[in-house]
Amino acid sequence: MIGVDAPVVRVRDARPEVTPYGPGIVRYSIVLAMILVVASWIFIIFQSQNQGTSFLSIDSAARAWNFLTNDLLGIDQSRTPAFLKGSVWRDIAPLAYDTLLMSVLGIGFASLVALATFIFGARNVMTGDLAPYGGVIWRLLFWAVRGLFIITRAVPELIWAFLIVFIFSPGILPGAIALAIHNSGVLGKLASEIVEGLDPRPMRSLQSAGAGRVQVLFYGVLPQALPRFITFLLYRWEVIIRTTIVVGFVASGGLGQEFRLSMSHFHYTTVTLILIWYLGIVVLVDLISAGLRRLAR
Amino acid sequence: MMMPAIRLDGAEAKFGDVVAVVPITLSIATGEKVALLGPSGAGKTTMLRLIGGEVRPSSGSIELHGRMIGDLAPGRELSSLVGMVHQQFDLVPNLSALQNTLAGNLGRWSLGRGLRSLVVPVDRHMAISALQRVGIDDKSAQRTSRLSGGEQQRVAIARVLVQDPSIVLADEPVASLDPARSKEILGALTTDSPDQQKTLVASMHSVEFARDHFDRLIGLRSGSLVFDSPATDVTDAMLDELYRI
Repeated sequence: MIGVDAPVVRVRDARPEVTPYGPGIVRYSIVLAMILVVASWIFIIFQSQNQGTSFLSIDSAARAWNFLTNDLLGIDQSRTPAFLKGSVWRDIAPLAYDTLLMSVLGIGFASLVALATFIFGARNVMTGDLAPYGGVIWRLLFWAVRGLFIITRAVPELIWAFLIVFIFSPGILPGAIALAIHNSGVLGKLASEIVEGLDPRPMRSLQSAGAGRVQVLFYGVLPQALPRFITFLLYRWEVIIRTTIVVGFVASGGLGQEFRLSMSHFHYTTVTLILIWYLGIVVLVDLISAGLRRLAR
Repeated sequence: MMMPAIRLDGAEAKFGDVVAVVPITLSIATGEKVALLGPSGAGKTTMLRLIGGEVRPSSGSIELHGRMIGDLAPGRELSSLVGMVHQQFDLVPNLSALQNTLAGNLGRWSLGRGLRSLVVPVDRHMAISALQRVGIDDKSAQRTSRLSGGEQQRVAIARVLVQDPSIVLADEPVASLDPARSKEILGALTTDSPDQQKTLVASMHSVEFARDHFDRLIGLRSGSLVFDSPATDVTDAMLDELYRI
């Protein structure tokens, strides 16, 4: 029975609930992990002597220190470090802009594909209890879309970029497309799972009020799913901006390409400058995304 | 004899091995106001859902105005005959009270009209007058999730007023409301439209209220019929027997 101001129960979340296993598995996992750590160190120290211990030697510590101070920070060098020259800052700026552009294009394409397909990947809408007329065709479409999500998601962005530069000439676009392909699978799956996690009762009520399949979609499913889809979309944008540099290595301009070129030309202080720019745009995107997410709520 | 609005013929509801409603045979005439009484878990909600076509009978049959419920097309046809107010979780939490109320029109609107209405509400006056009848037209622009339980229930009732089916099924329609408001809401649910007499079947937890405002009381216990008689004939002894722990 409902009381006078029965609390409004929130719709179930799309994320998996608390672990379905008992507390026992957590305890055993912790013990097992500790045994693994100890065993691994024993193996490193006693078995693989020539590699393992050199990794911990004073020698390698010195090399790391040298790389950090001499190369990346340019201390003890005759030349002025690149990150202290205004002209190099200005040279890198358009590349940072390109990288930002690539990420926006990537998330844009990805969300278009995900928006157009996610509803067909939701089991409850296609074949479950929200689809009283579900037939074989809907079932096939469901599996086709789910398959598409799996394939696009299983191949990492870097591999997509490798494949795509064979088709397009290197530039921002192939990078954006590589990011978009992988992330359309990620976003599509997330969005489908949002829909699967929705409370079916409001939708059933709409059906009993006479709404057909498409009307239930627009009156029941989308109003509940879209706000959460937007928060996932913004989160993936944050991930994409971090991945643009990796994709840039193989294909496609922006900071990633310049990073690789500077590394191979031993322009380490330029590498430092690229990292500074890169951190800047990552922070910028995080801030924008956090602001937009607050708006979406 | 006139054709009954609702006819159950040995209708039974089973969920797996659990029998929620044992085979029941009864008729409800057009225009009758029937209250379902009984302890929690007696099968009141399941019986309403059987009549509303939301639960398929595991055996037996259900007719609405002489037509088998399975023969009625879901959506347009069924929704013009029967509408249901659920106890909770009836509404889309992200839509405004107005849009949830207007959704009662979806059975008669074309697809395009329904979609257009999400952008610019169509037949707005209809929803506003329905919200007025349940006393919350001042909250029409609010997001439904921000309304209290009682207010949400009233929006659900406003929606079924807009839907305007000939048979209204209501699961505890006034559970969260004060007596004066309850009376008003029941009045709204049973107001006949010009062309048809309304039939109301509602589950009720307040026995006194049911006795005062309904024509006929049906007592359910563990899914079976304990009594089925005019409200004036129901004695305290019968009710004590019904609610006996």
